[in-house]
Amino acid sequence: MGAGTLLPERFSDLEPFAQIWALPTANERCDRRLEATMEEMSSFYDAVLPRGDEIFDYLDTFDYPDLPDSAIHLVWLLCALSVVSFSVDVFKQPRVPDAGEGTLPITVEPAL
Amino acid sequence: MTIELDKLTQDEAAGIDHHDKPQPGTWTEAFGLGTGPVSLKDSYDPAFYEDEKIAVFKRSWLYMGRVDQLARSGTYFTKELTFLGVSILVIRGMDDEVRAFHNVCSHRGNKLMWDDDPRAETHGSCRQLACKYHGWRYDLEGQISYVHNAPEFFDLQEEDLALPAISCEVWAGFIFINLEETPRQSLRDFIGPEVGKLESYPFHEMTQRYVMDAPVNSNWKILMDAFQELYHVPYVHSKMNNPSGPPTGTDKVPFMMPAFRVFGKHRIYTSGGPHANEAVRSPRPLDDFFGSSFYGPVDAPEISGIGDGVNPAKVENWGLDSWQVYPNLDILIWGHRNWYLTYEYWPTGPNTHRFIWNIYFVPPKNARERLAQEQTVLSVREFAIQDTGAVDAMQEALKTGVRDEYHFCDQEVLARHLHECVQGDVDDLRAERAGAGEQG
Repeated sequence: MGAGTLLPERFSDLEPFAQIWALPTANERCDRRLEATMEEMSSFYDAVLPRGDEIFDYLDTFDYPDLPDSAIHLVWLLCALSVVSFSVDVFKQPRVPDAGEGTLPITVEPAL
Repeated sequence: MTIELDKLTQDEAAGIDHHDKPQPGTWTEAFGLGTGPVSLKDSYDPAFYEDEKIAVFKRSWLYMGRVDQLARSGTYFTKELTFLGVSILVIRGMDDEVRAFHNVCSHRGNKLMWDDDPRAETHGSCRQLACKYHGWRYDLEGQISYVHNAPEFFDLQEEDLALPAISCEVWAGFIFINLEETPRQSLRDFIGPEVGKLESYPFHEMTQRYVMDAPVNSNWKILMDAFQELYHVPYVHSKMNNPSGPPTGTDKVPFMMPAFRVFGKHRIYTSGGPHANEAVRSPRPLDDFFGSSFYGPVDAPEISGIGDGVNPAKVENWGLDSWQVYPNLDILIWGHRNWYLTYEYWPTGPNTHRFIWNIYFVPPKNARERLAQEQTVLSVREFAIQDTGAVDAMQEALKTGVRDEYHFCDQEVLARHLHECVQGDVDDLRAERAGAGEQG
């Protein structure tokens, strides 16, 4: 694993997405979505979705919550996948339609 | 073109669920509510708002937080009820009792517990409550314990220096305060026996907590209304519920609630949750991916039981209880999925409020469960952003005051009930004042 590498070796093909999306808090992930283009989110979505089973099986090999950093980055990456999925699957745009500048910041979330 | 206002359209009739209603045939009449138009002046009028603060919020038990937030002696949190001009300190004492005080130092009135931002809420753990200004200290039960350079003072009396106590009681692990000098009812009496039975639900086993907290551009009741009816769901949430369905603007299949109940000023709807309108909904790809959705993780965690308070109407295929505890607390309990939420709506003005949302899960055992919970939180968040957008628009129009009478259908019976309760409380206050004026 090289310096600055976030993900485990076997998921190195997802590394470019992790550099953008593996953010530690829900608010950072939600804010990132608002800055992203649909093309950017679709390519992330299409790359990670087919790897789901493999990622979950890998995460299953660790005792929770004592995950190594690289596995935590995978968890963050999947959290970000959930965030962008609403834009990709439902809204076809970064923002929730008809909600103005509306957002709901997550002010408390469990540590990981 | 003529429309028939008492008939379903063909599209609506195609998929609608049917549920029995009580005698005499509507929920609204069964609860003894009027069926006429409702004034919503209570949701923008500044004069009403001023009276509502006193009639509703200074005379009701108000929800502060969970006992889980106060794990041991010396843990505390503050709650800023800025609209009432008070800052509340809630703390667990050495004797394990939970108490509430005005967050004001007895010396010269400094805010006692705060960090960095004087207006922001805080929480933490301490051995004593210490004032940042001149160092006065109080024990965990609010009694004075130290005065810096005490001989310089004149006739300080220990008993006069305790923090001003506020009535504080706990039910089902939910901490409430009451700002009346002597509350007109105990918390138990206020909650009542039917809602009270909820204390048999294992809330304390669900300590994995997410909080959302945001200003919303609507009167507090207007957002609360959105969460006590499902009449809006086919329109506001159509794409979330059915991404592959027809676009907004066509006739949608209405949601019909299996059961409503009114208990004094409190109320509940019980719905099928994942089973409601199943015929006209489709899952999103990511719901399968995470094994989780708006309704919660599919693999529900084990809990010790559900007690005898939930699903009071014994709805088959029970999916969701949404309890509205007067005035501004919702407790939503998901049947068979074993998680719950609380919503709080705190006024910040006639046309604005602060919306606080807590989500509670059984702590996850592995990363898979953690991610399933995250997917639920984020799904609920998207729905709620749609709702806050909808009520923002509603408030903009409502506050023009162009119309005073609005129309609530039988599926909106709980919203009607809330407005009736609030207006009733304000009417009582105004009648008291008028009576006092006559006597004076």
